[in-house]
Amino acid sequence: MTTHTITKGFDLRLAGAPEPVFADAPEPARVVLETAEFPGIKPKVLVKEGDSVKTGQPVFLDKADRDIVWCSPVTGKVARIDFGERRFLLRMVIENAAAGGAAEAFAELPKPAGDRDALIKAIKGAGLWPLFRQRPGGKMPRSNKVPVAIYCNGMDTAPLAADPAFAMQGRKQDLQAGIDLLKKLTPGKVYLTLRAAGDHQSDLRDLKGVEVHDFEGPHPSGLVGTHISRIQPMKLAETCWALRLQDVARLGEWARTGKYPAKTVVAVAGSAAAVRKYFRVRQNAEVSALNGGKAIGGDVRIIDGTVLHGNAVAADAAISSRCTTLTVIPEGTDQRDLFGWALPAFGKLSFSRSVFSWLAPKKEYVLDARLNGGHRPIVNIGAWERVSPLDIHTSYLVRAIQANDIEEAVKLGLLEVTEEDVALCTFVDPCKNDVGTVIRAGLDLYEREG
Amino acid sequence: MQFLRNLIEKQRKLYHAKDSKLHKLWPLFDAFETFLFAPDHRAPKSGVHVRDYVDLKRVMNTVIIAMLPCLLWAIWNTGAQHFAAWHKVAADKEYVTGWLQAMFAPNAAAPTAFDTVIFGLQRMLPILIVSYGVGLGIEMLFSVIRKEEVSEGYLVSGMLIALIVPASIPLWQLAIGVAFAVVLGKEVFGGTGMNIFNPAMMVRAFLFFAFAAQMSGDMVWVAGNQSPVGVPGSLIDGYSQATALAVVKQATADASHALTAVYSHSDLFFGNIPGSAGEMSKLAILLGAFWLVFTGVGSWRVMLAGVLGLLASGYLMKGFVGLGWVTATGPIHLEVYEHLLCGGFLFGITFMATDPVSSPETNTGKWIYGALVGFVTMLVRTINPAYPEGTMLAILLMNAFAPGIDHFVVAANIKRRLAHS
Repeated sequence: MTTHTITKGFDLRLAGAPEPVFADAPEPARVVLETAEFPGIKPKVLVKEGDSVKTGQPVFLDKADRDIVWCSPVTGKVARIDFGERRFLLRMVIENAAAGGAAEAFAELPKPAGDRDALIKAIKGAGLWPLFRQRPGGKMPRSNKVPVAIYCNGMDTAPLAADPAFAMQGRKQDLQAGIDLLKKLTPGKVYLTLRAAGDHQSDLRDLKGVEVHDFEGPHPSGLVGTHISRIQPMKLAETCWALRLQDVARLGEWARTGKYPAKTVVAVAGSAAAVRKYFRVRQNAEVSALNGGKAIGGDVRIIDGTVLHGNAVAADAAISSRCTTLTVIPEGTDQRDLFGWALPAFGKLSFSRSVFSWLAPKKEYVLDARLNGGHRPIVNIGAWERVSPLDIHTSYLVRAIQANDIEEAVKLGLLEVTEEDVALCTFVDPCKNDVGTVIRAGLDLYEREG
Repeated sequence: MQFLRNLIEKQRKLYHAKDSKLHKLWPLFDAFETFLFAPDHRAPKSGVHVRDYVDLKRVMNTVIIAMLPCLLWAIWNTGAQHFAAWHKVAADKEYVTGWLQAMFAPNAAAPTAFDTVIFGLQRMLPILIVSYGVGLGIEMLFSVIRKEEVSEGYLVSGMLIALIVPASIPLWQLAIGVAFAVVLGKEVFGGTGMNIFNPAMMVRAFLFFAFAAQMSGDMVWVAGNQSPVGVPGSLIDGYSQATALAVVKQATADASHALTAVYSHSDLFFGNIPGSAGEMSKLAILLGAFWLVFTGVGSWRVMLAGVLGLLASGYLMKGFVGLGWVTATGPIHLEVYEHLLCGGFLFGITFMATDPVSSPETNTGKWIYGALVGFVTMLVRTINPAYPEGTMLAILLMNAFAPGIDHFVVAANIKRRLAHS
């Protein structure tokens, strides 16, 4: 075991951490599968509106790799299929029969057996390939490249994020089975990264076949991008895969039971959330399932993910298929601070000491979605450097991408980051630049040109 | 407050509605509106959903707060130097009052603290007004042309400019200098964030070379009210007072004694000396430096590297004299630490070299840049036969090299990355 200490970074002290308590969310009336969650795929629909589906039954596939399928997380009826331009599948709404008390039926899934290729085919056929993420890029792996290592992330340092170690208590067998599968997928090592001196880790530290690395320090010490840079920095043209502990457990559950792992654990957090707990909930469930069956109302922003990395979703939408945290914060509509730039601003959170939040180091802050300023050209006062533990000159990387110089951007480390790795840069930037959007544009351009 | 909001919301339509005659002027309205109320922008639906409370307005305001001790001292000392000089050379003449003194008549024979402040304000207020008026006016014009929000960069430049010129500067010269620097030093590059040279330093360099008689020598550092024939500007007729560095420059040997014979160390430190308005009190500068470093707005790396670079090159020059490589001059003989007490180096390295736009962005680059600012300052002070002070030239020169320094630091980063691939 090695401990890595991260010094650069920043922990946002936000109010509304999830209570370390489990609860069962009610069965949602519907689940919604969105293709926007998997940018780049070319979906082909396998069912029609009105069809009955079983849990684990494939409902669409990726035409670029027809082995990769997405499965229904419920037993029920396909209620609606939305197409966009050129009949591109946007989303599929499936009614959940279990909400009415009906019994759940499981579709037969491929079994994890055979050599590496057969195993990959089985994982794809079981609809679990979308759990994998690839570096560089941070998307679902869609090439035949063999990963040099696989990272299982057992920590999350993002503000108010679910603690994977807590959420996966009692899942030791699933996790071990998942790791056993992963070991067959890479000739390299399988790494498990954990929070140094974290709680609820006794099971995790007993897991076999993984190399455990501890990380301590402020966010982004819990991001896989940080872990890769410290454990086994990627060489050019290499790839590795990244899963979170929750994903590994689902893989393992499938391996052990043969059934589609349709339930996940989602922590509800945020100052505007009514009940903040770890909910056992169905994948792709409607958001209301996490609020006692009622739609979340008021001037709030519901974020599928954390405040640093996630998508705002409507109150009647559903959570994404890999959701582990749902954050509800005030939206801050129509709230404008008089002389916000000049007053000491005691109750406001800032990385900089020009806001007097340093006087109250323990205070937990309620943040809303306001930018707190206007957009300006980059004036780098050194804040980006102080929140980036990676050996990357972010401002030069951003400029290279903005100049469409992808070759230079790759040299500057584009392939080592995704938008979540630079989220703190976006947060602290006084010029309100959205660094993540630029990074994603660079990665997309690289994908098209590379 | 709600009343103010309502008023602004009403006006807003006048400027932001596309079909309105005033639509073109929306950047001006926006500048005024966001001066009062933080703008109504919210995070996009994807990505980062919360933002730090700091915006560029607050960053710039933080720097202005850092300069306040220097400004207050400038107001006080401009008056104090004026009356001291008056007593030395012109006590028997009739005292001519200025525009502000016309309202608060001074006792020229025995000026009170109030009289001192009034004289300081009488000189500093017009300088600030011209600096901000001309500079912000041009910035707003360009914002309207570019159809983008007015940037806050000039709020700091405007104050800096007032602090790095002699309080006796003729206002028309200042106005020309500001217009030159803002248009050719900043806006032609694309405005805030795009300029190569520090705009305030551009103003000073322009004035220094275009109007040398009013920016250098022994006659300009103490402001007066009279405009004697042959000496434009507001000076005290016949009064000449060399700055500390000029004293040192003229010294042939034992510069330290020559310096302390005119200015004691405590005078130099507390700022009881003539000079450009803001550079005089080292104490005020240190207060500002502390605030900048504490808030994280100014780079401590540049400041520390600059001071260390100046001191190290001071010893280096002494060593060169010992080796017979350079001819000994007054400034070389000065105790090395005394170089920090004389001239505008501390002011420059604290407020101007740390400009995030015209200095390197990489941390390694900041060390190199700061040290070189110190080194070049020392070179000009000791080797150049004419200029007593080198801070301005050093910072401008290193501004030009800043992208080059960063280039090498970034190239090393790329090399590191390729090495492990």
